[in-house]
Amino acid sequence: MSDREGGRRPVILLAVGFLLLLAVAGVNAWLAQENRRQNDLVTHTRDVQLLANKLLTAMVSAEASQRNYLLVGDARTLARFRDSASAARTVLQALQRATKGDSRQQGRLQEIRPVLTERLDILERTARLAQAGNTAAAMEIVRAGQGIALMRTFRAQIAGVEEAEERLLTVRRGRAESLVDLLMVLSVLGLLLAAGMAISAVAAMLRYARSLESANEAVVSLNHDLEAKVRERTADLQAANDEIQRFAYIVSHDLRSPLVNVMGFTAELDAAGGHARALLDRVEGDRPDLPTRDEQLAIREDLPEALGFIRTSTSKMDRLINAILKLSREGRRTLTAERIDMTALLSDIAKALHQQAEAAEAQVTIDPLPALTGDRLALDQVFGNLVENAIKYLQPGRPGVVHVSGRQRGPLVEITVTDNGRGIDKADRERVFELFRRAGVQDRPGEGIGLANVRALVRRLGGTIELESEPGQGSRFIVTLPSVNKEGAGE
Amino acid sequence: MTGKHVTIVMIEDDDGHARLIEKNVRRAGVCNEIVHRTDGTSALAYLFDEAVRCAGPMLVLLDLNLPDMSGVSILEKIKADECLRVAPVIVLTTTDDQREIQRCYDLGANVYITKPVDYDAFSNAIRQLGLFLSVMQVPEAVGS
Repeated sequence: MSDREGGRRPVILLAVGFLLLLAVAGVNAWLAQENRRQNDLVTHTRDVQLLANKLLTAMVSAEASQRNYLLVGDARTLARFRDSASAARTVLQALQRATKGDSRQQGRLQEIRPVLTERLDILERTARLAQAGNTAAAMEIVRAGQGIALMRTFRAQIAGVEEAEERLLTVRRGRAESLVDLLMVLSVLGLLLAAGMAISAVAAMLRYARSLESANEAVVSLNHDLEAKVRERTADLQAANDEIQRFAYIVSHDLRSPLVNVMGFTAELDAAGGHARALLDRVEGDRPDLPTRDEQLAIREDLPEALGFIRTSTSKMDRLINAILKLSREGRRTLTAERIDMTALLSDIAKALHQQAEAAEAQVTIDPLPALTGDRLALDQVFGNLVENAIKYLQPGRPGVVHVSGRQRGPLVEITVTDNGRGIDKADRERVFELFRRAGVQDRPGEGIGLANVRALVRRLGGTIELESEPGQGSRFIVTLPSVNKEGAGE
Repeated sequence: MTGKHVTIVMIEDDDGHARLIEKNVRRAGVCNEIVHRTDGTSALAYLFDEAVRCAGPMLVLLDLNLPDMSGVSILEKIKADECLRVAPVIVLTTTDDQREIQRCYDLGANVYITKPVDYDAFSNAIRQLGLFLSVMQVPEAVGS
């Protein structure tokens, strides 16, 4: 659980870091915007100052032109005076427009307007007087000094306007500078934060990787322990299995020994019985009244019948003991692993069973099969038995079709023997693998050891065998074996 | 006939088997003396008795499943002994394990007979053995 949280943390940190970077970028964009606005305002201040200067210049020019005219009387200077006067008016209007948003500057310009108008009126009046030839009257007005006073006021007013703009400029510059500072601080801060996030995310990831690694190590060591345990258990099982094999071997020998006696003395008895019968024959010929009916029956029927039963039972017992002995020997045989072409092996089996198949009207088909490493004899017995069984237990009246197919399934090879025979009832599906047990109608010879042997061999090869069957439809034996049998060469 | 002097030493723990073997040996027309021992210890004691060991030709009928030891070790001892090694050994046992048979032959057993449960086969084998005995006696007699 903590590991999973450990895995989530770097992701969260990365997300937070990403969001922070995004925020820094946003603030930067906003600050840049703000900076541009401040720059625009600075430019605007410069424009206003320029206009104020222009206004002053226009007024000075108007005054100079008027004086020139009064002194020289040149018509061109009169025209220049007029131009400058109208320019002054236009510039004042432009200035008023430019400072629309600033009420204090508007107020100052409001004060300038009457001064400017009056000064221009006085200049105009003197110009007209001079034009009419009354230069003396004009000069009188000039000498009165009202115009100069007005001009002084005007200059002071323009200076006020310019100063106000200069103050604004300072304020705005300061603001722009502090914005730039802020921008830098924020950028650095954001970068630091992002770097911090990245570092802690990397650290968390490393921690996570380390915890994964240690978990992996734990799994590996557990696995190792498990393997050791499995080996231990396998050895125990192997020992138990060996014990059973030895037991089976000894039992079968020790059982066989008395059986030799039973059979031998039965034969001796039989021979003795023959003599008894001969005697009876002779006695009956000479003295027919001597033997009783019971004596006749005993010698002629009971004795041979009893001996017959003893004989069949002993021979059956002998077959069973031989079967156990065979299985036990099979179990003790050392398996040798070799690479085996299963297609060739199955083809050889089919060839060997060809006559049997032909007699039973059965067809054996074999798909290409994956090769595997295992004990040749064991594999031959396993599949020989399965194919032989398939041919042996057909559904009467239906031509037999036996099909062998196979596929690789990871480290395993699965080989399936399918038939359309008489099938095996559900209740018998486990029983058929047991020793001396057989299923269905007992119309075929056999001791019931084939499948028991097959299963024992498959297990020794490290595999499994499964049975699927539909009574009356057919059976399917699925043998799963390791591709490379590690146990095969051992033991 | 010198063959008459050959003693048959039968080492067989099962009295029934011993009796059946004896019956069939006799039926085969062999009338040599048969010494019967039912365990390995007494059999070895008999064979290695100085009065017996080098005294005369003998033939050993050996069962492998004895209560106190394996017939194989008796076979080993016989074949390791200077005097006894010339005695033919016929292994007569219930085991038909190929490896065991091979082992007996490797150790110098002359014949290996599996006791068949089928009595006809059994008595037949013993009768063959009787034939074998009559053939075998000649060189033994010459040797002694």
